[in-house]
Amino acid sequence: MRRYQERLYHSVYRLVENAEDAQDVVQEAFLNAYQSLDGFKGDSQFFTWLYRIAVNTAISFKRKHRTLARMETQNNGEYIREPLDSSAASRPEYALEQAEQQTRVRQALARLSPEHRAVLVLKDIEGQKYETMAEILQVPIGTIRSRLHRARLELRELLEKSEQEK
Amino acid sequence: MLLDRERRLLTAYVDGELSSRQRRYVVRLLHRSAEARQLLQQLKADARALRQLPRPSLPIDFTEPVLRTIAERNLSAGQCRIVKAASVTVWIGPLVSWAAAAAVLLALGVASYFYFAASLEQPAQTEIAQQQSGPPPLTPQSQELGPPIIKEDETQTASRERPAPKNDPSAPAEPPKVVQHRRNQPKSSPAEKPSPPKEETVLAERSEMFSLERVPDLLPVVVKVSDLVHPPSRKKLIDELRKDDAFHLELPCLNGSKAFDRVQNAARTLHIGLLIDKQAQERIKLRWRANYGLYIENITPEELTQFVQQIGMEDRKSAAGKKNAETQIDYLVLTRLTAGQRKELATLLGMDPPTASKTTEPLGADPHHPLSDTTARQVGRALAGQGGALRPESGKPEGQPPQPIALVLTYNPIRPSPGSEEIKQFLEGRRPIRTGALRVLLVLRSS
Repeated sequence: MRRYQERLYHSVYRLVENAEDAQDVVQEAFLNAYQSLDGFKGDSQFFTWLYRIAVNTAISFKRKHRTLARMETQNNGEYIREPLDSSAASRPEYALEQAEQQTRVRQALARLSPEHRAVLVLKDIEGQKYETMAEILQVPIGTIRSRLHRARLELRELLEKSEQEK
Repeated sequence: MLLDRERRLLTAYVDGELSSRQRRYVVRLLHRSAEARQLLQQLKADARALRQLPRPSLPIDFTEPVLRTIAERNLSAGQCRIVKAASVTVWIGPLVSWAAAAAVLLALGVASYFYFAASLEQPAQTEIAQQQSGPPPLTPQSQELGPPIIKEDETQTASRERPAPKNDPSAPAEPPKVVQHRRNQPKSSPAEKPSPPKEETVLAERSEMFSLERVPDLLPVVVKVSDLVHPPSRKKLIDELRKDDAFHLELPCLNGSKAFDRVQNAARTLHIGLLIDKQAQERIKLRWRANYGLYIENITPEELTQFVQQIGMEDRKSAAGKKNAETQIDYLVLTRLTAGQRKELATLLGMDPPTASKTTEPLGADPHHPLSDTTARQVGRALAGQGGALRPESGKPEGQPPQPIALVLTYNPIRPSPGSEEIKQFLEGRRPIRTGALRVLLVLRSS
């Protein structure tokens, strides 16, 4: 558990975009994995299998809790995600622009469907190959390719809108 | 305005998952289209921004809460053996190459041993003969162990000194009596065996470092699949396949699912039926890097050789079609079906295990005998009507041989459980094995 928890938590955090939710999902994923150890057929690496459980748990969590996502309001009335962690508040001035860009990216990512978010997290954040992604998400490689294509274009569209609104 | 196809290529370009042809197309597109350049730049920037998102630190150690929850909810675990299997999956690829290398070294070692042992035996023979005025009496202990090794050497020496005339086909077909006897002995652990009588230890001491009776069975025959287009290589494989009636044929490949496409095409060309188990179907559909086992019955050595040759041709054809595609299969590794594999096959299919091998002739070159002996034995067997495919009886029309059917199963470290519809269908459609036909477990093993 200690071997995998950090990497798992990182990916799940990007999928649910909330620290507490991510903790719940990771814990639930470990419990699911524990109960279904006999479902592991040895077709893939153990981490891939565990990852699949975590991603599926996160996706179904996100579907159920889409409307319950925690939001905070800024003074100007716009909704933004809560800060990533407490240290974000103490960022040096020169990093302000970067932090804003990260906020925009996180917001755009959060507005994607769970399936599109999952492929972007697996590809860009986790650096997985199409083949492994197909194993994790249990879909053909062709589906991964087209999902990623749509996800990238949708993310681009959302970021463009966000830049225009800035 | 960019086409949808071009947009797709640009997103795949960002992922680094384009073939070299597609990449060249994208480069040309980027040269001529400012819109493409802009989109690519933006997509790359987005991907970079995602990568640069700060990595959240782990807030808690999940071990304690998870274990507590397990206890609170009284959850039960799956079987832990699955976890062990995962490590087997990870290491099975490298192990295959190590095993092949070890087999080659072992073969060299055994060959060297016999060479030096033979040269040392010459002066020792006289001394041994003097010590033994007659055949040593067989004690109950020595009967359990089989004939003393010294007798085997005497037999071999005698056969070397008095070679059988070449025009007598029955003489060379007789395997050395002592070797045959030893192989038929029930195997017992060394701990249960009493120490051998003193007169037998003269040569036994030298040979106990090796399991001599086991080595030939394990020696694989390795053939380059692309070489099967040449008649000598085909003949070599056919000759090997005629030495027994059940084989394990391993085809190491890059991706089992992709390699299976080649197998499927080859089977279609040669009218070999394929019954694909559901689990295997799913993995093939998802293009997983899984292992597949094809159990084929009623296939002659010639048909099997042609099948493997066709697989190789299909492989090269597929690789030639796409510029970035690699050939999936390079070599085949042929071994006899061992007792363990027969038992496993029986478990997989839920049937009686295939009967054990009746012959003890090793695959490849037999280090026990000169090559001329093997040739003479093969000629003798052919004359006795035991070599190769059946011919129709004179005066009777040649009947249509039954079409071989292969059952396709996943062959990962965790084997599928027996009893699927496809297995039942296969078992129901089974026919008696033709004389000279083989049972083959062909394994596509992903590296």
